[in-house]
This record gives sequence, structure tokens and C-alpha cells, in this order.
Amino acid sequence: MPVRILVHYTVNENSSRENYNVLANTTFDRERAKALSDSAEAHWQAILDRNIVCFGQTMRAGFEAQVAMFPNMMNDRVAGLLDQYRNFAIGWKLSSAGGGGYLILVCEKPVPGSIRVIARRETD
Amino acid sequence: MSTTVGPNRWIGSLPKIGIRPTIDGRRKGVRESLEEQTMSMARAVAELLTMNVRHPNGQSVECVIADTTIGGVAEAAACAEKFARAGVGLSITVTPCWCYGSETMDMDPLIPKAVWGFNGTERPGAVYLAAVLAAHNQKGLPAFSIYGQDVQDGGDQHIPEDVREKLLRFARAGLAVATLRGKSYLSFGAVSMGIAGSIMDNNFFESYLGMRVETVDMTEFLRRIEECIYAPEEFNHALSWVKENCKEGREYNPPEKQRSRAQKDRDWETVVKMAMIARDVMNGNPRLAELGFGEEALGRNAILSGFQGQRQWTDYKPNGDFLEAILNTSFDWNGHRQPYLVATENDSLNGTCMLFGHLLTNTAQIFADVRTYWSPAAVKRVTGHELSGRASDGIIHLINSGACTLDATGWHEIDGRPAIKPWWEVTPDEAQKCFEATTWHPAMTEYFRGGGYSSTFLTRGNMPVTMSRLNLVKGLGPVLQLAEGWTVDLPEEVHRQLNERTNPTWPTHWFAPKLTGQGAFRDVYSVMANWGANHGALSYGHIGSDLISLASMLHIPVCMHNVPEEKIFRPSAWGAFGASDYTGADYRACANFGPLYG
Repeated sequence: MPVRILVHYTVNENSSRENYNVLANTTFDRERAKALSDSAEAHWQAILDRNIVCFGQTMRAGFEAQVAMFPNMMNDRVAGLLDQYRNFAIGWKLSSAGGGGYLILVCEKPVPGSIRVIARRETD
Repeated sequence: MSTTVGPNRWIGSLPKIGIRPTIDGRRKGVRESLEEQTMSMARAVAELLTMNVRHPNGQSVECVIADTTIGGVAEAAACAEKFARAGVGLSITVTPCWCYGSETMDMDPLIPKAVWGFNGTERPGAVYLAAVLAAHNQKGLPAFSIYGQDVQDGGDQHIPEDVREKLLRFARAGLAVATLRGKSYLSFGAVSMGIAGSIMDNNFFESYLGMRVETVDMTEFLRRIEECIYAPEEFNHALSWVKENCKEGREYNPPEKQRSRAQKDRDWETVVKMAMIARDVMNGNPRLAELGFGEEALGRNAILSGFQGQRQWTDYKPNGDFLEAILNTSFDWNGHRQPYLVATENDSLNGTCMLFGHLLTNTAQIFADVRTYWSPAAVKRVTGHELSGRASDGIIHLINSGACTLDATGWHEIDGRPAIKPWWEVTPDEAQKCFEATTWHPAMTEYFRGGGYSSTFLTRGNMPVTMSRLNLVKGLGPVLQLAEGWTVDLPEEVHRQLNERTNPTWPTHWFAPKLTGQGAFRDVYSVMANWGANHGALSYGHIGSDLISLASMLHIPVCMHNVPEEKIFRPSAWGAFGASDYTGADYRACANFGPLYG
């Protein structure tokens, strides 16, 4: 299955607001930390297994674990963007989202307006 | 009728109904004079069935008519060949005249058979009917006899109401028999808490239903979850849809036994994956092949499944209630669709009744614990309320999460009254109301240590329903029992008081069986006392007559029912086993003919 990892530039409009702090409302506890840790472990395992579905799904799980700790990473615009891709993306993650960043999508089909990332091994 | 048709999710084509126009074979006058009338009968029956009988996916049944009228063995053989090629699963022989019984009869031992002999006097259709049924009985090939109450004129092409009713009943039941054949019961896990119905009896499924039993260990769910063997895009969509449409209900667990919010969120993810995986194991999913899981993509051709759950799974992982409830329902995140049948606690015998009900009505089914008989006196003592109306003789509390369809909320409507409709008739608004009427409560962790969610709702009253149950008895074999009755409404406070005496996180249906004043239907207590197991399956409508016909086709006796005698329709041979004692004759006939598939 040809799989694309696509990046979609987005802006967290909250970041332009005065006094916006992405770290506000942060909640750390053992359970949330474990969820993030577990998803990272599973994500790494998916890479080792070359299992693209688990790669995407654990990426999503990791992102959601981050949001559980840092709720200000999310806003309606980002949620709306995700809703657009939910039905055909395998997984996703908002990267560098403190003040805008990239929505990384793992999916089979090209997403208009996105940049396709091609990963090659050194020997390629 | 709506034109909505869903995919045929089972392997192979859907069974067709074969129409066999038989005729007096004497040429040079007799035969020629009857050709048109005989073929017209066949065409009229085909039209009646095509217009009124559907497969569970919504597709109208297809009828195949013999290429010629059948006047003798050669044409009977040609017809048999045509039917075999076309995938005919049941046959109806029609004739307005005398024909040669054993030379024209359907000899296929495995398909249900009926004969309609035209009640006219110009030619002796009824004489042929009697003659050919004698041949059927003599050869051990039971056939249903259809003969109109009133004499018709020779050219009358109208199908009288009583004949029409019998043709449709035979077609619905026969189609169910034909649809079962070759499909699988899929057992997820093994025996649940010592429940007898989950002790798989492969011989029953093979010999009586023509089905096979597939067993898949519950670790398959773990493997597919851990290795992401499901459609990820669908999961993303499904989880979002569930969060929007499945309202989480009140937490009934004491604080020290509650699962954390993070655990509950993970449980939602797990139960949605479980539902998708169960469905994929049952009937496959082409998306899995695209993902590189060709074997898993095929499924197991299951028409019915059961999920053990308790206890090895539920002590460790979220329970199967969501999986069972959503699959048994006529709609989910993909829109409306034919329900998948899943029995809770892997109770294959209750599941079989769900399957019978589904195939006869094309509706979603209710699986319930037959929990408590509430006498009028007991209700009065506990609540102060005097039961009245259909509930006046007492009620049975049916309750269980898991395999109860959400369609059972009663928020479909027919003529303004609560109903459960075939999935293709359910409107988006009705589906939405069913979800609005349902809350999903965190599972009681004293029962379900691994968490999960149980559906909760109260079924609206005044729905005609039929409860049935199949039991296996050593030395006797399978036995069916059924009770037609009604769901009833109780005043809200009375319901609350009675319901909260037991697990309040499950759906409740208050059931009042129809009483006859005799035997097991002497009173409501006797219905409860004669029920053969802890579970019952409910279908919308009073379908006892259809169930009795279906059971007779499968040679399964019915030990208890409240269907009037005049509505009982079984093969003609049954009369020879005691025409004045229908129940006893049923047992003797079923024992005599043995399991349909040997």
C-alpha cells in the first residue's frame, strides 16, 4: 500500500491573542504521562514493525495524549480541520503547535494543498 | 415498498423460490386446455411473493418458474435441473388440475416444499393435492398443503386471502431455512459463566440448521487491536461519531470502584474497535486486504455470532455490550444497514432464536434476560401501584445490555405506534431518536472489572412482540418455545422503583404475554415458570405462526406456544401423527423425520 505522510500548514490563531499561553491549563498526572509514554512506545514499535496503520494510529494516540495534557494545543479551527480528514486519514498529529505549525497526516491519498514527505533510507 | 437494498454480506447468492406448475400430462386435449391456467397460477404466485417477501438485505425475493408445465418425470427433472442451477432454496408446486403425483412431485429432500391445489370443481386440483401429499408423506418428504377455503371458478386468477396468507407464511419460513444453510455460527470464545447455551453443540447447528460452527478465541480481538488490523479511517470516523451520538450515562459505581476519565476514554476506543473487529471477523472487510491482511479480509461467512465476554475477557478488558448492541442495531456510523446478529454471553441457542426472528421479519432483535415475574400483588406491595390494562395479570421484567438492539427503544413508528421496522424503512429521524433515548453507562465494575459501557433505555409500551427460546434436551434434541405478547408502559415512578432494584445500567422491556387460560399460558407466572432458560429473544410482531412453520421445516418441535390452532401451519404429514393433538403430533413427526440434514 503506497502511503503518504503529508504535512498541512496551519495556524493556531490563539497564539496571536494577547496573554495566550499554550501551557495554560496544563494537567500533568501519572495517567496522562503514561498514556503519552505508551503511545510513544507503540509508535516506535510500529516503525520497527513497518506497520503503517499502527504508525498512524499511534501518532494520533500520542497527539491526543498531548492534548489531554495541554488542552490549549487544540481549538475549533484545528478540530474542524481534523474533521475534514478523519474519514480518510490513518492518523495525524499537530506539530509545533504552540503558535501554529503543521498538521501531519498519514494517509493513502494525496491531500490538496499539502506537502508530500518522502522518507528514504541512507542506502536508497 | 422502499427501493433500498443493502449488500448481500454472505458468500453465495441469495436463495430463490422455485415455482413448479404441474399439469395433467395427457396431450391432444386435456393438457393443452390447462396450460394457460396453470402457468397463470405460477406467475400469480411469483408476483405475490416478489412483491411481498424480501431478503434481510432488503432485496425482493426472486422467483424462478419452470420452463414448462410439469406433466411427468422428464419435465420434473428438467425443472429440478433449472432450480439447482438457479439456486432455488424452496419450492411451491401449483396446479388447478389432476396430475400424476409421484411423477411430478419435487423430490429434493433438503428444500422446503409446498403444494397449492386450486380449489375448483371443473378440474380436480384438490384431488392432485391430496394424492401428491400422500406421495410426499409415503416417501418421507414432508410438504405443506395449501388449499383455499372457498371454491373458485376455473378461470379465476385471483389468489384468495387464506391461500395468500399460507403462501407468504411458507415463503418466509422456507426462505429462512434456505438462507441459514451453509452459513456459520461464529463463537467468540467459549462457555460464559456456565451458561448452557454457550456450550457449543456443533451437531445441532450442522444437523438441524445446515450451518457450521466457527470458533475464534477472544485473543483475536487483542491481536487485531495491537496490530491495528482494522480500517483506521473508519475507526477515526466511528470514534468521533460515537462521541457525538452515544451519550455517556450516570456513573453508578461507588467512587472507589470507578474507572478514571482517561481509562473511560480508552474504553470507548477499545469498544469501538471491538465492534469493528467482530464485524470484520464475521463477514470480512475488503479494506483489510488493501492494508495487507488478505486472510482477515475474508471473514467467516457468519450469519450469527456470540461473544463470550464473561469472564476471562471482561475481567481484563471492556465488556462486549457496545459491540453487541451497536452491531445488533439497524444503524451506526456508516448509516443504516442490516443488523449483524450477535448473542451475548455466546448463548448460541438464544442467538438462534434471534436469527429465526431476523430472517422472518428482517428486523433487529432483542436479546434479554428473563429476569423477574412481577405479580400484581408484588408490584402493589413494592410500589403501591395497581397494574392495569395488558399488565393487569402481571408482567415479566426482561433486561440485559449487550445484545439488545437500540431499535427496541420503540422510537420507530408504524401508523403512529411504537414499532421495530426493517432496517431499510428506518428514517434518519427515527434512528436519531433511538440514540437519544439511549444512555451508555460505565459498566458496573463489580461485574465487569475491565470496564466498558452498557446501553440503557426503556422500551415503549404497546408493541406486539414474540419471545422465543430454543433449548437442547438430552435424548430429545432441540425444542422451541415461544410466547406472543406486548410490551407495556408503567408509570415512570413505578418503573424506576422496580428497575433500580436490579442493575439499572441495562435496557428494560416490560413484557405481558398473551394468556390462553391453559397450560403454560394459564397465567403470567406459568409462562415464566415454563421458560426453559435464563434468556429469551424478542422479535417485533406476533410471529408465532411463522416460527411454528419454520420449526416444523427444521423438524424442531415446539413445546409451548400461545398461537391459536387455526393459525398453525405445518406440513401435511403432521396430521398423520395425531390430528387431535397438535403438540404431541409435532413431537412425533419431528422424531420420525429426524434432523433435516441428517
